[in-house]
Amino acid sequence: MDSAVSLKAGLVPLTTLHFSSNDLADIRAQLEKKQAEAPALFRHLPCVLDLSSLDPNLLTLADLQQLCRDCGLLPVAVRNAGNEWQAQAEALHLADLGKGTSRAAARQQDTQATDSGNETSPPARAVKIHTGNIRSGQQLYNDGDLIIFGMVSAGAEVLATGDIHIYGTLRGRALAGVKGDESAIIACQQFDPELVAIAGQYRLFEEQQEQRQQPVAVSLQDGTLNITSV
Amino acid sequence: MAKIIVVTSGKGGVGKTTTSAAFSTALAMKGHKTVVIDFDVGLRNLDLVMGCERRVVYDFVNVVQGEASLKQALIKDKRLPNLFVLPASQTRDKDALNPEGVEKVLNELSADFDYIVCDSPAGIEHGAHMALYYAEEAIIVTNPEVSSVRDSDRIIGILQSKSRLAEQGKSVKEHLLLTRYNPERVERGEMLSVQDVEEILAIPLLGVIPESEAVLKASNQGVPVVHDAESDAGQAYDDAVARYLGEDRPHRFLEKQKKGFLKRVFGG
Repeated sequence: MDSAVSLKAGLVPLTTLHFSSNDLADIRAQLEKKQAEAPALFRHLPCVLDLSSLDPNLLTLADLQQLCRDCGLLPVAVRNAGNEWQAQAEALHLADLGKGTSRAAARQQDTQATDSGNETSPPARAVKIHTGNIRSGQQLYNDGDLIIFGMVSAGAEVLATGDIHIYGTLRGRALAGVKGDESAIIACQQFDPELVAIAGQYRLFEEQQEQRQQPVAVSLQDGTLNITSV
Repeated sequence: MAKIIVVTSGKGGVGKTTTSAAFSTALAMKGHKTVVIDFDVGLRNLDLVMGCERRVVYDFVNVVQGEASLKQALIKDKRLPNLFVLPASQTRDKDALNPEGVEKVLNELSADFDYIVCDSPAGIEHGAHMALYYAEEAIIVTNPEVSSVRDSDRIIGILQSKSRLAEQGKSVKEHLLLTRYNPERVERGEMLSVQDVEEILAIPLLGVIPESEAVLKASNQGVPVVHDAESDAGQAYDDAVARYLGEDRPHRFLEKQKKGFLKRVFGG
């Protein structure tokens, strides 16, 4: 007899909403515009609300949640919620995902580092080297960079918090910077993917690529994915 | 010690059973003592293609569960003295097979035979897993068609991660067998070419079997297609097995057949 319930840990992609205004009307206008662009995406889309740049004196979490729901989103959790937010989040049954990579926080850190004049190099990322092909249905993840000597088949998925380098053909999915590192890149020798993503910005490839047989690098600049032949 | 070969594909209907029958028959014809096992419990077909369906008394599941001895269940081929069939059970399901029981049967057969050919069921579930787990070599049967190629890719991944050899840090030797190949349709761009499939799957090509009327006829008559030495499919299987045994034979049936002068005049 199987047990009635089992607990499994897993990585599930979640959309995070960053806010740069405390004005609910502004937020609503922009969300509605985005919803109109991609109605299917917004249908019950679970999401995380990043509260780092919001002021609890100017708006309530309940209003924000209702606004999101009106636009088809399904807020399930909050991030970067300061103490002043905790009671509200709890009352609304929103999970607290703790401190994450918020743009504001990252910017603050950057400034601090420059201010103090410390030239500490960023900590080295762990590199995982995989020799062999990643076949359909297989998944490879590394907290750090990922180097693959082989191809990534259609239906396979490779994920890294840092860069992904593929010495072979990419036909499956490659997701770099999965924890929000926008400087992550994806490079491969032949480029025919189903999907590439950097720091949550993704692109699907329904049509065959012009760069199909060429070495290609993908990077994120100002929120858009740049795909360049190298 | 016998060599254990699994014939697998992921997708159904691509020619696993036809290949298992032809391959084991050709091995036996070339003088190797061979047994072919049907792992498709519940959807027993191999006995039909081998033409021994009326001689099944005990089956693989009976042996695995200790209800019959191997000697009782093995069916000797009518035409070749060194070829045996171990049929599947039609009344049970795939869960009737367990790794320990299968290993015991394979070990027992291994002492007696040169080659053990395992005809895998379609899918990637328990039945297919049982068929491939103990394999040392794998024949990946693929049709020149995108869904078949993707499923083959999936099954190669499983061979490389879940077979016994993979668990021991070794690897199963893979061979690509492209079946139901039609050069005319490839030329018209309706079918993937050998090169396309080789590029996607990146495993060595063992052979290409042309789409042939002889295959259906052979299955229905219960005579493995290699016995039909006149047919293109029979010759292609014979080539593939010769190549498997180390002979160097060029690939045939990759080009559209040019119609001869008489055929052009009289049709045909």
